[in-house]
Amino acid sequence: MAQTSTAARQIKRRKNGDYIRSSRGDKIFHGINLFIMIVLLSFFLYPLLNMFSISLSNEYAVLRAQVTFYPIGFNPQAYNLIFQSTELWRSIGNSIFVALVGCVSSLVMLSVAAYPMAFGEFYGKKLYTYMILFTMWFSGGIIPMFLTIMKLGLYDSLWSLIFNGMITAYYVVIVRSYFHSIPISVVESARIDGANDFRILFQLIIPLSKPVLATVALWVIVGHWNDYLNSLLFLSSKQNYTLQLVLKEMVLNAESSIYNISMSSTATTGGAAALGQQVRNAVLVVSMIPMCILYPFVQRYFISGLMLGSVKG
Amino acid sequence: MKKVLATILALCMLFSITTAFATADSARQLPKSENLYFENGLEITGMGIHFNNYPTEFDGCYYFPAIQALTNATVNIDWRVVDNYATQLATTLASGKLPDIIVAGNAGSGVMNLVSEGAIVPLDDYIDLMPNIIAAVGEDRMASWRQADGHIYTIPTVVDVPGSQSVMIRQDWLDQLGMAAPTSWDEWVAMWRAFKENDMNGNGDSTDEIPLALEQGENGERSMASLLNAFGIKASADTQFCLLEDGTYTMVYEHPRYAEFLQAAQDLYKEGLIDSEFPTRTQAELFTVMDSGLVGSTMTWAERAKLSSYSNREAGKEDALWVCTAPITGPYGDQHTQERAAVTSVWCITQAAADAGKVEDIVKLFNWNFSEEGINLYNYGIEGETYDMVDGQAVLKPEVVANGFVGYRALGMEFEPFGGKWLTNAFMQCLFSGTTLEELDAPSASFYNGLSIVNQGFYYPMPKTLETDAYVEYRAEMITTGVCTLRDQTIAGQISVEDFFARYENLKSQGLQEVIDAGTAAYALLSGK
Repeated sequence: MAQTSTAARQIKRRKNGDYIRSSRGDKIFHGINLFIMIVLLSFFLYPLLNMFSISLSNEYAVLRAQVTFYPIGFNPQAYNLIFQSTELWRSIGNSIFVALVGCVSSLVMLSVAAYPMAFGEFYGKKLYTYMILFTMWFSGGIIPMFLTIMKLGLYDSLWSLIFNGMITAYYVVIVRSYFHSIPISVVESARIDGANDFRILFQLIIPLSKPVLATVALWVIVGHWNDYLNSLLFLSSKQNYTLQLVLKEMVLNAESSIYNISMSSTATTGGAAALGQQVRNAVLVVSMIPMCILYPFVQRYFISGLMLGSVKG
Repeated sequence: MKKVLATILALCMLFSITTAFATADSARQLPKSENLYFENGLEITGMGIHFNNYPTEFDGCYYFPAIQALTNATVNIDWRVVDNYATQLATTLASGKLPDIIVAGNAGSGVMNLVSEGAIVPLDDYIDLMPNIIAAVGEDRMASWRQADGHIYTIPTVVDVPGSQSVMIRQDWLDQLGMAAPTSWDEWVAMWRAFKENDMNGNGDSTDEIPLALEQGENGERSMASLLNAFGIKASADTQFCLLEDGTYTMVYEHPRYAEFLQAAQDLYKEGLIDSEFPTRTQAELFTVMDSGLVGSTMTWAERAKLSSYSNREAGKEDALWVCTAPITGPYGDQHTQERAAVTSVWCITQAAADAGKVEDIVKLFNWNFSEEGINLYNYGIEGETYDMVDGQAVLKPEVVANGFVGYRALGMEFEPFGGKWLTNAFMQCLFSGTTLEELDAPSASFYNGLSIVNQGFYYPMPKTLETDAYVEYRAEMITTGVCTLRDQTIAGQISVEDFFARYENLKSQGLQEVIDAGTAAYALLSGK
């Protein structure tokens, strides 16, 4: 009997050589799970494939809305337009500057903000905590923010973008939660050894907090990279424009190309008409590339950081 | 492996080709103008909306360096994208640091908003300094230049080129049916019926053809423009306002033939002759269904006749051809189509300029822009560089127009965001890109016909939508989601024409009558009646 049921089961080998047996129920569950995940994957993947396909397809196929998840024909005019732009590379440099400097300064300031919330024992700690949390619930709005930036003399400066998003209450809470998971005895023993709070923070706590800092760093970088409205409001000089502003301008200009159709050769007619749609999708692809480059290097931190603070041990 | 791929991707990004073509250097060498020269110099700052592929740097093209060389006036514009322009304008106003000139955005309501903020100055007192602008606008178009309160607040752009939209029909479908282009209302209806009843695109589905396709326009107000004109209702651009026979400015719903139009549109919809998605079909969606071979006739931009012909041919319909035709003939023989809006508001002069004592000089500079010298610079550029004089006529150089408007505008010519006066001659030279009429293929010839031939004699000047306080207050509720929704419901057969007017009267009591009365009064003021 045992042998028959053994033969009926699928044997699965684990890494260390032990065997676990999958039951029929497991097999069915895995099958259904796989099916659902494939369906979900297709929902998530289809828009990306459609976007990529439109950006590369033949212009008339784009005009007839025939493009689905693979390119029809080949017309890289949108990418030619984007990569021929002299403003593009300067804007990428600006965006990298804002993202990197913003990330480093954010991490430092977030750690400084979260440390007293996690390890501090001082009069007014609750008030301090609520002051930070208050900003998570209420905001002054665009005009007060603009006036503040003007008064600080940061208008038309990349530092306006860096300072504006430097400390976000939500991230402070995330970092504080992680700091709480570090045993207090580490801090106490450092104090006994004569270390002050700055030394404890920068030489002990921060090195122990790599997962949370890497996760928050990724969020901060993505936030700065994709930021459009703040750049639109605070930057006026072309040399300070970030990538999203330049890409948006390209899309708007490309959409105007329909008004440039003339009696000149047919080769330009369909291209001009489809340019708006193709550029709109191509800029999405181009703006995704840096994140695709960055993500493999921080993926393990991101995944381990997903469950930050959820398990106390 | 992922990191290797990511690194390769990063390396692949490291390529670019830079191109540059500017004639700023030659512009700087122009001798000073004999018509206007600011001995002490003039610095003007501005904030405007940028669009199309015009250069945005001061010396990115010849235009602004040329103005500087000729008049000693330096114009530095902070060009912004149209996206979220209202927010950008609001923050600029809030900062208290206004430039000398500013684009209001959102047409009239933007201007009146700036007026109510005290940010801009009226220009009525400087009218004597603007003879060239007045000449360009023309006495019969002065009402288009003024705002709803009767004052002039803006420097305009004047576009004296042919209208840009046309009714168009699938000629190959007509040929297939052995029908000629319709010349009467009955013939139009017969043609639409024939498109509906036969599988014109040959795909085996006889229900997907759209005999008459319409697009909703901005906010859904504009649909039915071509049919309204066919009933003798000469509507504004948004098809909400019109002039009656006695010259009274009112809403189209007050027109004596509106009920008849509504009934006819309802009957056409019931037969399936009108686009079933007319209330929501956007312009982009209209173009898609035209390119997909589903549409028999429509009214849209004339260049679509060329573009959709090529698109349909590329899809396999070798003989596909959209021809631009004269406007739809109505039951009473009316045939009208909207003329291009010739006068549009661009720049407002701000209080900051007034405080600095610059208003007069700025007005003089814009007046110079509308002089013969300024118009030449705007349309043709620099003699010897971008055009030559041939038998007393300015002829653009072949390399300037080789790529049509793309290259022309990239050089900064006809710098539309800054404004000026377009000349038909320059426009046509660019349009033809060095080809002759005889060399045009059928789709291109149809495009040209739609711009210049078939609609001649049928144009009417559109009455302006006057953005009175009542209009701004009630537009969203009473018009966009009010009477326009009722209109669409009536055409779709959900309510009767009688029900429509009953509910329309209701809307009038809720505020729409105020809009009508304010518009009528404002028009009377503007037209001097």
